[in-house]
Amino acid sequence: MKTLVYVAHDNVHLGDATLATVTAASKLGEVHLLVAGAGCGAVAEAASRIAGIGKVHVADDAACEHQLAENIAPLIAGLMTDHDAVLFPATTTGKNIAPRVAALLDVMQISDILSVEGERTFTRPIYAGNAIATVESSDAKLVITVRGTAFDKAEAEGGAAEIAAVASTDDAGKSSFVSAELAKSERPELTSAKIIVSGGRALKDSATFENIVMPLADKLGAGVGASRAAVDAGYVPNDYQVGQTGKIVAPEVYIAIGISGAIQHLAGMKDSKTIIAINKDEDAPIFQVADIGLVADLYQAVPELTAAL
Amino acid sequence: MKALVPVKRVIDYNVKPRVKADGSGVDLANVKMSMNPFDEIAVEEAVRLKEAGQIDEIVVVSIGPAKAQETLRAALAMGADSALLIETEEAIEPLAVAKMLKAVSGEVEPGLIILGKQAIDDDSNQTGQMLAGLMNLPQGTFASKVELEGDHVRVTREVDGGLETVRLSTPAIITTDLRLNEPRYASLPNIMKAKKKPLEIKTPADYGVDIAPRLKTLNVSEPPVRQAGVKVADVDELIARLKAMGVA
Amino acid sequence: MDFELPDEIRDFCEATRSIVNDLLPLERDFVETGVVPPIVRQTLIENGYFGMALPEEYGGLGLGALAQAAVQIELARLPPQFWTEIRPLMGPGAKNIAYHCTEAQKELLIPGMTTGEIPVAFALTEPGSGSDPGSMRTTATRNADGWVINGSKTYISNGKNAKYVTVYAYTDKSAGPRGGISAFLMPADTPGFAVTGVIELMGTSPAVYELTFDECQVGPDALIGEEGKGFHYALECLNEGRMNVGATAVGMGEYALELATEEAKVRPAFGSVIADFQAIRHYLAGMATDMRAARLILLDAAWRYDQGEKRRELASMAKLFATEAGSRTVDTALQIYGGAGYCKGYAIERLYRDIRITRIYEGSSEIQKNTIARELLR
Ligand SMILES: Cc1cc2nc3c(=O)[nH]c(=O)nc-3n(C[C@H](O)[C@H](O)[C@H](O)COP(=O)(O)OP(=O)(O)OC[C@H]3O[C@@H](n4cnc5c(N)ncnc54)[C@H](O)[C@@H]3O)c2cc1C
Ligand SMILES: Cc1cc2nc3c(=O)[nH]c(=O)nc-3n(C[C@H](O)[C@H](O)[C@H](O)COP(=O)(O)OP(=O)(O)OC[C@H]3O[C@@H](n4cnc5c(N)ncnc54)[C@H](O)[C@@H]3O)c2cc1C
Repeated sequence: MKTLVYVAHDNVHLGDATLATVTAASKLGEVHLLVAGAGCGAVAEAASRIAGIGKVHVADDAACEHQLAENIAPLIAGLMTDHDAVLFPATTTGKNIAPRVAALLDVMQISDILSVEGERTFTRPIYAGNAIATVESSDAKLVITVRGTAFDKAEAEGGAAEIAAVASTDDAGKSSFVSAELAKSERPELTSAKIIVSGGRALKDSATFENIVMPLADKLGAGVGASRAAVDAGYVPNDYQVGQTGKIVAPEVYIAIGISGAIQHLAGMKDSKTIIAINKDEDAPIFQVADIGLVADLYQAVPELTAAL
Repeated sequence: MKALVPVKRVIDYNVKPRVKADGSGVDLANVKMSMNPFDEIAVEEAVRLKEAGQIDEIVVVSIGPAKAQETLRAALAMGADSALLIETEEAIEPLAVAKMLKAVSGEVEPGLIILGKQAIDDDSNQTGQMLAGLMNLPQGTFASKVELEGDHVRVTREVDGGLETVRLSTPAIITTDLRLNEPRYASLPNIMKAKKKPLEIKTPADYGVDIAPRLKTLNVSEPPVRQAGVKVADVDELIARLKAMGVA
Repeated sequence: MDFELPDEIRDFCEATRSIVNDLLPLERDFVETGVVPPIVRQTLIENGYFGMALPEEYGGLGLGALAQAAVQIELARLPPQFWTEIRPLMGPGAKNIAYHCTEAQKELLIPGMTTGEIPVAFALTEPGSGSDPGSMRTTATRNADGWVINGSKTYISNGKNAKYVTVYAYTDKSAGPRGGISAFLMPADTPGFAVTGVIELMGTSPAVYELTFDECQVGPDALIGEEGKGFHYALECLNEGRMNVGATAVGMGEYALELATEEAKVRPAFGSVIADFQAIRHYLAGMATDMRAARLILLDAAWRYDQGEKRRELASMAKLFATEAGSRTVDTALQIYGGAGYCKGYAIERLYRDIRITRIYEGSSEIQKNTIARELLR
């Protein structure tokens, strides 16, 4: 099977999520990559060095600059005459484009796969991860999004693939990029962090979140996450949200502070290797999944912990 | 301008789903069902646009079992004007739903189609994007803000790195994220009014759409359960354990 | 026979349940501060609850007895302080206004009652005259300007905030209660009217009030309906009031049953959870059976009432059984909770205090039995 992997990037850096997607694709067959962007030569270079891949297609064109689904989907649909499957990382960009491609190909997409069980058979989470479905596709082409935490990362170095330009389709003229407000953070990105410290509604306000959670994260070199309640209340921006409808993470250590453990939150972090919970309510559901639980007032326990590390 | 808002009846988000012992799916017998929370947000957004005088009429549509009439009534009670049920007892995949919605759009001619970004049962996150692809319309997915500006709509999207704003020509397709708004309650007076609003019932055959599934579900199983671990007595013990793990 | 609630009423219940679920977390604030967060009242008003039982022509919803009972069952999960203000709007006082006041009075009052702008109180009970209202001592004497009211009332819910008070008073002692008592609609700013006592309570609302009427001059139009019909009016509407009290008991009992069931499944003891012990299982079985019977007897009475079968004993049986069964259930739920059930901050603790009054007001259990027996032996 010939597969095409959509490369996650910001025209400068190759996104980490690509590597797990390459691993998933390699289980199906030969892996080609697509870099669609503008001025994205460095990304194509980096992509060509990923171990074990065939060819890197590059659509370097103004119409691709912001990876608008309206412009990218027809491009990929065109490339599918030569490929049997296309796999996207389940990032917001991947989730935005993939179904549009599937519609153009008249194919039922398979979202958020956790494993490859056969040529056309995959597992995927449903009901916020409370059930795992094994599904088999009968479509001629496969359109897939891949859950990054479920696959090992392919080696970022070691390959030397050919880079080939492909013609972009024209700007569809229906949508335009206006602006982006992207968080700049020195901290590790959530989906690739080895340790995550997450805060919940109990943190009261953004200043308190900053004073309690951030110092601990800094000590541990950890990424910072949050529950929906903390995001909704404005303690931290939306891209911190972990859960069914936020980011799916699986770090080595996940520290949940003042988070009750609603199923929608658990859906985003229960595959973490070790879960540590600090909560003053000994019956909080988070303790049912935590490897190490501390029943305590976070306002005492967390500063104490930070100071002692 | 009209708005079309598709709504789905799903397991209530407070209910913890149980996998059937024979692996054929999730047990929905006697389980509380509600409107998909993202769809509630979609209805709310349409109602707010209507209250702001930017939309004249809201049509809600559901593709699903007869019971989905309750979901449609709930949307009418929130402020939608009329409802359409395309009744089928089959489980329908997003692709077929999108095709059906395309057919409905042909009749309704909406300026905006507002959908939830995903349904919390199969968590596919596909229908809006597919519909946009099939109709060749622009899409503003995962919206946290929607501003109508004449024949364009400005959509702020929740993306992995933060927020992104795009400008779309109408007709356009929008899918909602959680922070777009807080849906209102269906108030008692509005429930009474909703009773009198039109609710039409059709079948997939009326639209000539092939709903045969493309994916076959071979098995549904419980995810591996995490066992609760230990509770530590104090911060010192926690630190000792962190050290033992090599974290600190 | 169809035991399902009609679609519309089911929708009311679902909508109410979701409002209740969103308001319940505010109980914590209320317990800590003693103040009901203002959003509670606002939410209930905006979503139509104040006008539930009031006629549609004047901005209410005109719900029937069945719909009111079903909605009350849901609302009753909230601390009563969140909804006590609704009680007088569903009870005899409001019904007297809706059924017997003049067009002009209704237009003046009812729209404001549905929006919470015109709180009302129902003043029947007096010191030493509760179950036996015929023994009341308050009087209204006709003069050139209308009527002069003298006397006092006690245990009056909403007595402090009310803008209007429906007062029952003898206009002709010699005619006895039936024929001698009349009902009046008195503005609370009438000179001579005063709130002379605050009576703090074990549960339910923060307090009830003692009212004093000292030469209160009201106009001729203050008389509700016909002179001498007051006792009849008060009793006529007690049926509806009784079903509503029954409904609150069903709601509280069902909530306690749910809480106790969940607690039993997780409360550890002797190496397992208490739900594994037959004693606890039998408790739960008995509670569930009680609450199911309570719900059915209540909804049956309300449904029949809406069909025009307004037999007094049906409402009495419903109130009697629902409040007694609800009380038993809450008591057993507390037992299942053990010590925690006796602690502030647990819903069971407040349910235990709050449900107690349902066996007393709007006719005590004993009075309900008197009514049932009277009808039986008629
Ligand atoms: C469709 C849908 C999607 C959703 N998606 C997500 C999602 O992606 N991610 C997500 O997180 N949620 C999601 N939610 C929301 C979810 O249901 C919960 O409401 C949310 O996770 C609760 O956040 P929380 O744990 O911070 O707050 P709460 O549930 O309020 O918990 C706060 C916790 O803090 C503890 N606490 C309070 N004070 C202290 C103190 N001083 N010391 C120690 N502990 C303290 C309390 O005991 C409590 O356990 C979603 C909901 C819906 C309906
Ligand atoms: C929280 C609260 C709110 C209230 N709100 C209002 C209000 O808004 N307006 C209003 O007018 N009143 C109100 N009341 C008063 C309430 O209706 C009376 O308390 C009730 O009618 C009982 O009267 P009582 O307290 O005088 O008791 P009594 O009538 O003195 O009864 C004492 C006991 O004797 C029993 N008993 C009495 N007669 C008989 C009999 N014939 N046979 C057998 N047993 C009998 C009773 O059942 C009871 O057990 C309220 C009371 C409370 C506590």
